[in-house]
Amino acid sequence: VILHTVSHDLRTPIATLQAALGALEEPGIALTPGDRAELIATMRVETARLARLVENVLDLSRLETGAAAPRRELWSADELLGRAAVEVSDPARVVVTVPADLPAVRVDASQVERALVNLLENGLKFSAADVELQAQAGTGSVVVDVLDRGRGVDADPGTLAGLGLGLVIAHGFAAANGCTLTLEPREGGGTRARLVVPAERVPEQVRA
Amino acid sequence: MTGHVLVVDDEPQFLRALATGLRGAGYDVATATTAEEALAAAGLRPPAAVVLDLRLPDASGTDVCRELRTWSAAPIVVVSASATRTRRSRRSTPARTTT
Repeated sequence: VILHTVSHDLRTPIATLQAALGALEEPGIALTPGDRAELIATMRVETARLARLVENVLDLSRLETGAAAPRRELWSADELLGRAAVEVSDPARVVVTVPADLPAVRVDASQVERALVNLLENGLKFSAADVELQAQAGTGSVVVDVLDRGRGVDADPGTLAGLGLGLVIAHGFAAANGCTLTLEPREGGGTRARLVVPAERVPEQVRA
Repeated sequence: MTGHVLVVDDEPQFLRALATGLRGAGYDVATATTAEEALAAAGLRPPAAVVLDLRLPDASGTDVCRELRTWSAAPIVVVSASATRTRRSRRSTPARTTT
C-alpha cells in the first residue's frame, strides 16, 4: 500500500516537471514570456512539493525503523495548532477556530505538528474552498478537526488503503503520540479529519 | 501543425504545463479536470485528439475513453502519473483497444 502511495505521490510532480521542462526545452514550441514565467513558476511549486514528499518519506522511514521515538513535552494546544496552521504551503486558506481555554497536551510537538500539517495539506490539495482547523475540549482530550470541502474520503474506514503518503504519516505520528486519527465524510460534502490528543491532566488508564 | 486537443487531468499544475506546451506547439487546447467536464467539452467542440488521465475524481479515464468511443474516432493518448509497471500494462489494454 505504502509503496504504491509513494509511487503515485512522487510520480505526479515528476510528470509535471517533465511536461514543463519539455515545453521550455523543445525548440518547436513557441512560448510567450508569460508562458515561460508560468512554466517556471509551476516547476518551482512542484519542486517544493517533491521536497515535502521526500521529507515525508524520510519521516515514514524513521517511523518504521523506530527512530521516531517521540520526545513528549508539555504544550498548549493552541500554540501547537497555530504552529501547524502557518507551516502549510498556503496559510491564507486555513481558517483557525480555537477556544482560549483548551487543556494542555504532552506530545512531541514536531511530530504532532507534522501530522496536522499533512492533514491540512491534504485538505488544501483536494478542496478549492478554505480549510478549517478547529479544536475543542473533549473528555480528557483535545479534539482537533481539519475540515475540507474536497472530494471526500476514498479510503476504507479503519484501513490505510487508498490514503496518500501524507495521511499515512499523519496516522503514524498520531499513533506514536497516543493520539487517534479518524477520517470521515463531512456533513454537506468533504472530509472531517479528527485528531484526538490526550489532555495532560488525564491519567494514562482513562484514555480512550 | 494545428488541431483542437482536449487535455483531461485532475492535477492542475500538470494540466497547465501540458496545455501551455501544446499551445506553444500550435495546438488549440481545451482542458478539463473531471470526466463530466471532459465529456461536456468534447460534446461542445469535438476534439481532433484527446490526452486523458486514467485517474479522475468522478470516474475513471477508461470510462471517459469508452464513452468518447461511442461517437468519436479521435486518437486518445492515455497518461497516468499513478501507474506502476503492473498497473500500466493491465490498465492500458482497454484503452489501446478503443483508440
